Amino acid sequence: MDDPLVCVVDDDDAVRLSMSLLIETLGLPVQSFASALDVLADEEALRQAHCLVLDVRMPGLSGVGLQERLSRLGHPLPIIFVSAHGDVPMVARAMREGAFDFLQKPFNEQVLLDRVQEAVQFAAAQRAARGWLAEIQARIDSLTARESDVMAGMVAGRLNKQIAEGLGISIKTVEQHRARVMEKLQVDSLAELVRLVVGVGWSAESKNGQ
Amino acid sequence: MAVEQPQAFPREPGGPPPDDAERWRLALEASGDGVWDWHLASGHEYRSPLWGAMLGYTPDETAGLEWRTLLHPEDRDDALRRLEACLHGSTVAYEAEFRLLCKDGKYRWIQARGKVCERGAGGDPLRFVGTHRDVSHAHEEIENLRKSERLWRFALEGYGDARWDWSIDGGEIHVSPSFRSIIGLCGNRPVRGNDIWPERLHPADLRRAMAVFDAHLRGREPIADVEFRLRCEDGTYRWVAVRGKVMERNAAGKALRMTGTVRDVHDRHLAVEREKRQAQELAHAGRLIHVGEMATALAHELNQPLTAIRNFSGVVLRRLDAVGPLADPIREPLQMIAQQALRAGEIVHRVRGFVRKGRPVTAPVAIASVVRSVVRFMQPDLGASNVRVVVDLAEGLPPVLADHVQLEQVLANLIRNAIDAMAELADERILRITACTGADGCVVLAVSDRGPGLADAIRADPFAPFLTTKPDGVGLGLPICRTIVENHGGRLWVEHSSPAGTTFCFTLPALAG
Repeated sequence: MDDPLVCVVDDDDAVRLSMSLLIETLGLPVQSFASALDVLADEEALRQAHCLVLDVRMPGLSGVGLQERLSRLGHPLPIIFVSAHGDVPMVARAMREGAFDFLQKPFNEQVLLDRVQEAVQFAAAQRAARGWLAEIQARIDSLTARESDVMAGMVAGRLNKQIAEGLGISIKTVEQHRARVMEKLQVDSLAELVRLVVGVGWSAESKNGQ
Repeated sequence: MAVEQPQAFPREPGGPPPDDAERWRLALEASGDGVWDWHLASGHEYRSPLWGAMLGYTPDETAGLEWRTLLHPEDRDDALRRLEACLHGSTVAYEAEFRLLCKDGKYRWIQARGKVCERGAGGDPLRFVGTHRDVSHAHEEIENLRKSERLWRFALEGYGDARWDWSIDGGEIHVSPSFRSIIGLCGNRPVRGNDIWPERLHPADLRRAMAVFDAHLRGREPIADVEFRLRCEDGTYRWVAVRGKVMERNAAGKALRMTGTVRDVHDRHLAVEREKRQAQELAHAGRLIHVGEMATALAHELNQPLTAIRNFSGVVLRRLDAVGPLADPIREPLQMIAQQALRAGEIVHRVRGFVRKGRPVTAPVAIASVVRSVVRFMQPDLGASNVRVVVDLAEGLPPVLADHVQLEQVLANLIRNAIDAMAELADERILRITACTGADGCVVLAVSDRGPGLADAIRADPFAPFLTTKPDGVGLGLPICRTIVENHGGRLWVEHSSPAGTTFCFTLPALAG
């Protein structure tokens, strides 16, 4: 699993350094950037980042500009904005774009640390959820077309006999497919299977749409 | 009436010397006057050649002229009346001015003087002598003067100017109808100078107007020219522009008569005042905008280092946790540093908020805690300036609804001013801060110093923006304080200022219940 990296972006050297040192007291790795464009250029950092502490007004690309770019690139990264201005319209815009929080400089550093920790936990949970989804999807994808049809019948609560009739195959064949489905999806009961596939949003329709 | 043939004067050289009567005639003729000598009993009248010459007649023609028929019809009655009055003794001297017909058909103004020099036993006049003098030239001048005066009046009144003519000794003042209409004076009731001056002058303008007139009356200024407010009949005041000049002085130079104009400049004055006020407001707004920009820039520039100070303090505080109890003496002052960084940040935000007319963030505040915190905060300044603070807060002060930070700002500003006021004080420097409950349920705070009192430059309006006596001041401290206090529903004022010290007071509405 990736390290939960925190990226600090501020054009003011003292602010940047002080925030980095502060967040490091949480035991989190911190990488600091003097400009928003530097962040965009560092793919490795973006991949590992669990939280972005971002100044709103910077020369070049602004904090809000970076937020928009990242959003378009599909990086749903929690962003904590910090600003020495704190204009209401700017705050509103950042929050509407999905900012994790907005702190006005100077702030109580404990508040920043609390929010950074929450953001990192949030990002980790998000990442974990994304990983679990990918795993289940991979299991579902490993089913053959026939097995997938049988699973659709199982999830719909049909009896083996009904499934066999619907697919024009023997009950015995259905039972074999059924066992393969349980094995491939690594579940021990029908209830577990239903919870799993419904939990990732699978349905007979979505299967058919594939 | 038979008229003696006039004789030529002077007599031929070498002839016998003239008798007394002739000597007088000669003298009078030489003075340019025509002479007549009328013997009423005989009806005989002597006329000197000049008598007729001034009317264009030859000496021959002169004898035959009938005086009464030469009189201008408009002047005849008056001239004859005066003549009769003298002949009958009701007046000692005959004096008249009339026009006589000249040979060319024009009239000339003649001044006649005469006297009955012989009377009969019954007092009846026997001989009447006198002179004629041509005064046409003087009359023309008078007429020209009248014309020019009419013109002058016309010109003045064309501009809407009213006239006044003031006999300074008598006190009477003649005013033109338009003057009466300016102040709404009805009828033709005579007006005394005092009725207008100073009776109707606005008290605020009196001293200035008097000074202008006085300067002119004493001859220091060539003309009196001043604008002031005059009270109208309906009690309102109107701005008028008055110009005047002394027209007559006595031998000692004392002014006897003064005349001049009054112009109603009320509307113009109001317009000018309005423009001036608008210009001032614009300038003020401009400065506020400028201050706003300055505050925004400052807020950003200051908040960055304040953030760094707060963060670095936080870093050190957290690292000290690893050191253990040894670090305790360092931890507390460090926490103060961190606290002050946030406080400074708050002040920056509030000042900017104030400039943007932001509303204060109010909460119930205990005055005592504000005073304590500000005094503690200012202790370094107080100590450095050797100022002793005496705090005297009444028991049981109610809390006030206020913005804690703004309240601190006000108090800190007043304390700062008090410290500066005592910078040169040789005596013990004592700063008193008192608080008590006012009559109307307000809390009254007072900050007193023992300094030399407000400087003249700011005494008139200590709260005017951009007025300062401090070399590095911008003159916004007191105006900001007053705005803050007023935003809280209170008042800020100078309670007292003398060479023994100054006291600033402000009120804050107490929290009900």
